[in-house]
Amino acid sequence: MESLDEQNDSVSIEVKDSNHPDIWSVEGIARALRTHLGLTKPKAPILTGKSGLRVTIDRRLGAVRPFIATSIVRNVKPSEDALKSWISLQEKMDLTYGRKRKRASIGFYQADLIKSPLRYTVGNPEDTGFVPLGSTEKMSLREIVEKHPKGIEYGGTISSFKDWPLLENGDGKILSLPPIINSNDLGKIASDTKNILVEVTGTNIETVGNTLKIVVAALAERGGKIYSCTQTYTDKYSKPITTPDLKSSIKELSVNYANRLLGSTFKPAEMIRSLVRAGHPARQVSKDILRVESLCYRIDIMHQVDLVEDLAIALDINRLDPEWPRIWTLGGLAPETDRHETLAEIMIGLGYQELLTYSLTSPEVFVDKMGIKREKYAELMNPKMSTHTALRTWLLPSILNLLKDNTHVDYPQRVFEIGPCVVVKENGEGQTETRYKIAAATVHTAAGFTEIRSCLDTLLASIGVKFEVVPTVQPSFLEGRTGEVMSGQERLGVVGELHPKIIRAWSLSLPVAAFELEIPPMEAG
Amino acid sequence: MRENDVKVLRTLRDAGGIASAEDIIRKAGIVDAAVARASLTLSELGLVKEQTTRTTEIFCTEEGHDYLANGLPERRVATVVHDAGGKLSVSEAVQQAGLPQDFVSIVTGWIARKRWGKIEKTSSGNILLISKNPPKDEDEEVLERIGHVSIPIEELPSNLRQAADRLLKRNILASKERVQRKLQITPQGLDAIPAQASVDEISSLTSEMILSGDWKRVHLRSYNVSSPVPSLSPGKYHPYLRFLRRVKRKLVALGFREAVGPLVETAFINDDCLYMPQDHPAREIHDLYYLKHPSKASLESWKEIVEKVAQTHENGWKTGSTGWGYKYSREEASKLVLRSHGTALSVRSMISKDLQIPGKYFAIARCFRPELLDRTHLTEFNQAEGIVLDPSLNLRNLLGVLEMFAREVAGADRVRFKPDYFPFTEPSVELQAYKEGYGWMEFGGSGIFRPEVTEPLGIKVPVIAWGLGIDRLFMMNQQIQDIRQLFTTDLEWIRQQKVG
Repeated sequence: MESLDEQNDSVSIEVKDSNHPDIWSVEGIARALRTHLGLTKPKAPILTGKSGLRVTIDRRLGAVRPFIATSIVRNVKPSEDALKSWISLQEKMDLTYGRKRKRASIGFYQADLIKSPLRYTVGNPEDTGFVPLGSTEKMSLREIVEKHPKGIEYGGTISSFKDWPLLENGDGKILSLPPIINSNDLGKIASDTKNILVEVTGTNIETVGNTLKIVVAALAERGGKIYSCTQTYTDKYSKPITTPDLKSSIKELSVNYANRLLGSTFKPAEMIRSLVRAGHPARQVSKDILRVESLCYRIDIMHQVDLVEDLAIALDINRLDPEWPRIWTLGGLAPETDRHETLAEIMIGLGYQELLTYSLTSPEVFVDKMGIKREKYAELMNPKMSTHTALRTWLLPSILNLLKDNTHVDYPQRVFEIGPCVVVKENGEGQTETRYKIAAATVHTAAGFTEIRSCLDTLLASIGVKFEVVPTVQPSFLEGRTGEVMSGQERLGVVGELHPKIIRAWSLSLPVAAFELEIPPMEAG
Repeated sequence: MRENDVKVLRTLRDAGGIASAEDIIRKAGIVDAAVARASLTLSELGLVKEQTTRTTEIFCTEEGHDYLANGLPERRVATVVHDAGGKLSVSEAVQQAGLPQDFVSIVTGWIARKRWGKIEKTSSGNILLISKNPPKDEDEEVLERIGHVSIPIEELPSNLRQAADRLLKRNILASKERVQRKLQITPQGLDAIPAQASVDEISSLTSEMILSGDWKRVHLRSYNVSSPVPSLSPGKYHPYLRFLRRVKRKLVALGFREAVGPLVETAFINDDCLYMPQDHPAREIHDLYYLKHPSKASLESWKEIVEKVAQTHENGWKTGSTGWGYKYSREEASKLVLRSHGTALSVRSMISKDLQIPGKYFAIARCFRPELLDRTHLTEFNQAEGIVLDPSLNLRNLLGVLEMFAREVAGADRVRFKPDYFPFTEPSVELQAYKEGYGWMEFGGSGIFRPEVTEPLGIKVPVIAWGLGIDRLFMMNQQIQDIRQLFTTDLEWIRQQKVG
């Protein structure tokens, strides 16, 4: 519970369970609270009878949105609050469980205006049209998708198809364009609607069926009686399907398993009491086994471990005694981290300030602004900001990016970073490799090659790496004052004075000398 | 009076009675600490007076440097329009001037305010009319004057000061307060200057004096040891990395072994192995960074696990679960993503051939999510994550682990637990910690991995998984309000953070 506002007689509750749509409505929360507090026993929703409504499904919906499930709920106690709650449940389910209406979406209609059989069929986006909900003008299906706010939001679910889904009343009038919008004439429920047709369409038959169960169970909480409908698929699902399916699912729970997982010693009777409070009718069938019923709307129960969690919540986890695991293990840093620590220690001893910069940056920064040519790098498909579009291949640009913001800060500035870079290998295997590198820069009026080379030598000599520096050309650096750092045949990195045009590109005005190295492998012993 | 005192008085007299410390250092040829000591002594004797003046130094921002090189946006657009014959649509002109389209309103605004041209509204958009190339204006003059250095705003003539204020508001210039101390000689000070400098004092001890024993015969001048000295900027750990090192030490002390792994993962490791269905909202492009180049990796080396994970997603495999009931796509699994949570590293630990049971593993993982940067969001951030594996583990052990972290890592006084939800753990528990002065805070999430996670990876014992909000804990410790501070480019802040 988040807060209790006694003045306005309202409680705000945080629902974290994104797998638990049965409590995404006032009705569902009230139901869960009643059983949790022991006011009522959990009871499966009852199917009162057949509504007599039939739905025929056009086989051309196959690739577009093949599934539909319907039910009529009669005699609900209508009110403004009830209507608000159902619309909010509809929106939440469409968004999350229905995956933004792609997998499933819900429609409400006044059952009294409905004539059997409904036809779930397809329509041509240009030739077919109706007055969409909240509008006064007739629009073609395409106009709805292109202009109506709901069409703009959800049109992507159907717009790539030639023909679009349509739900037609028994008299041929259009009820809705699933999953976009209902008709203004026939697809509207109000705060005085007592008899409601609930329709769910979608691309996954299980999601469609589950969504229907949860919605009708919520409506039934307001006194509604649930009536079934039949769906006739003209394709491979030739047998008519009756919905909603309100059968509970049964799982066996081992008392021993539950106690082991909780670290507890609950007796079967205590467990049954807690399971009932969690909304699961249960009884003992043998010494160790409980037969637990999960009501039709409890789609979150996939495994007996889910029942154990419900058990723990009903018992209140704060009543369990925390116990540090009594196992003996040897702790330690990763060898890589140990290596980085040694390098950091030496750099700090040399007077360099450690830095932390973003590894996600942009090729404008780590390639173009360094005066080098673009080669392979790991580029994002869906960047959010133009400044963060790719993973850097080296550190020095990140360091310069920091230095450019500090031209007013006291010099000398001596800084270093040990951080991850990503190189692209395109070898058909992992394709990329994360490599830690070390880079350092010194900036002041007299910064130069000798100073940075001394640091480099000290660093590598301290960790026992044998190396030589050979002249090289690298456009970020001044020719004649740049060397490649070689350890045997292996190229470790580069050391030199930054080229004045690169210094200017970064809006700096003092000499910069720098090195960047792959982290050298550790010597044995 | 000592030698340096006299030198300072002489320098002041020669400079017309008043000079800044920098001037004295240069002219008297003594170091700044000596000037500071001398000025302290002399002002105590009433021979000099200190005057403090505050100036506002202005300098170009990064944007300002750009305009310095390429011209102000309105200038660039005006030139384009003029060169195009004096008439051009605004958006066309902005584009030709090499500026993004969101500059349209800025540029038209300034051109109108500076009366450089007219804006004609037509049905097809706004047209700019600029008949003659406008002469250089005050804004541009200020920008040129400043160039790549910083100057006191007070030195600008008043008409240019207004222009500087405009540029400050436009973020083209930035400013910094500067306090300048000057020394002024008093009449008593002028009288006190001796005709000849006294030389009976020695200021520096030399190696020769030490070796020869001469130090016994000379008089070594006393220093004012209380006076201020220049500050140094030593090499230090970055404040946030220092904090992470401390967290790592705690975890190692608790018997956890560190795990490391790549920033780029397959969706298989990042999500599938954690039983996150392939159409889970957290896998949408709004919540997960996908790579464009390269976009996929081979899953060949995980072949056997892929098979089991696929079946678990589809129908529960042998785990006793119903599964998610959808068609698993190996194509989707092979997509490359940026690691979005530290739990990916726990997966890496579990599938490693070096895994030990009983075992405790942790990782401080750099993670990525498509967020815009603001006070509470980073697109690149850190998570502390870990697992504990042993046949004996249960939910009470999970609570025990959380309680230990709250006390040892966060220094919390009390803890409480709330049920939580993650697709990969069941039961799941949120840790709330109470700290005097802060109240109750959400501090981490945890749970026991679902059998649908562990069994396909070949693990048959309970696995406790935990994650700590490490970025937030650091912010609390350092009293930081804005999460962007973790990756700040402010070197002064990095240098000056207290080391606790």
